[in-house]
Amino acid sequence: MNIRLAIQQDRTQIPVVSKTVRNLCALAEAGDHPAVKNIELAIVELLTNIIDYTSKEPDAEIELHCRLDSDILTVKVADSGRPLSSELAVAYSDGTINMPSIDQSVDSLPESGWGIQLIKAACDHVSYKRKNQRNNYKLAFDLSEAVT
Amino acid sequence: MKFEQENYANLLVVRPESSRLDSIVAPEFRQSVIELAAEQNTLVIIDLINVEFMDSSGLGAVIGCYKATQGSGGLALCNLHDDVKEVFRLTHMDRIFEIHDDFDSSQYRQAA
Repeated sequence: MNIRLAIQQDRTQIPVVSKTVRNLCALAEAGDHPAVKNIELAIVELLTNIIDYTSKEPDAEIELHCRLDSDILTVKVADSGRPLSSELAVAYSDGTINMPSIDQSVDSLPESGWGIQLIKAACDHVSYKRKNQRNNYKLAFDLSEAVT
Repeated sequence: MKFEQENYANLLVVRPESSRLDSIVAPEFRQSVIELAAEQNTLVIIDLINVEFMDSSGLGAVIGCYKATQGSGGLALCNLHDDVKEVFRLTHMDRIFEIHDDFDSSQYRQAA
């Protein structure tokens, strides 16, 4: 599987993209893999973040490239929006997942800011690079248990 | 966002009709539930039987409802699809929320 999608910077496009990726996984005989729900979740979170936080020109497209090599699905996403802050860039790539402590009081539970942590929890690998005036994200999922 | 509403003597069941609780609908859902909860001052049960997909915006909306109802009747969830359960599991919010398999078998249905 080797698919490229061009997406408008419009939130209403996100469900269409996530369902398309889910259907592509099914076509690649990975549709029943437990990771498929995580793939959809991670892509939705990443596209939402791009549209909400780095979008610069409404007409600029987001490119999404899905490639399934043996049992590893790699999703590369690129946009020409503003670069991420250094803090966010590190948050995407540092490999740590920082969920809020469940011991804290109810009042201090955050209602936002879960997106990056969910992406990192849902993927086997996440990285971010700013290159050629574009934000480049790479997500990888191990589908070894389902794809034969 | 459309949702069904069932009123009982001591609780309110809210059931979103959308199959997705995401950044498009979550803010409106959050606001509506908080307003209803404030009016009725009872336990709120969010029945997610129709919701097949939830993202961090949906989670944030449910957390907002949870926080807003702590001073009144509180909040519980029921009928979570596997994909929605996964969001709660990944964020550890499954340890915070009271989650029931379904409303009819919960202790609240018996008492309603």
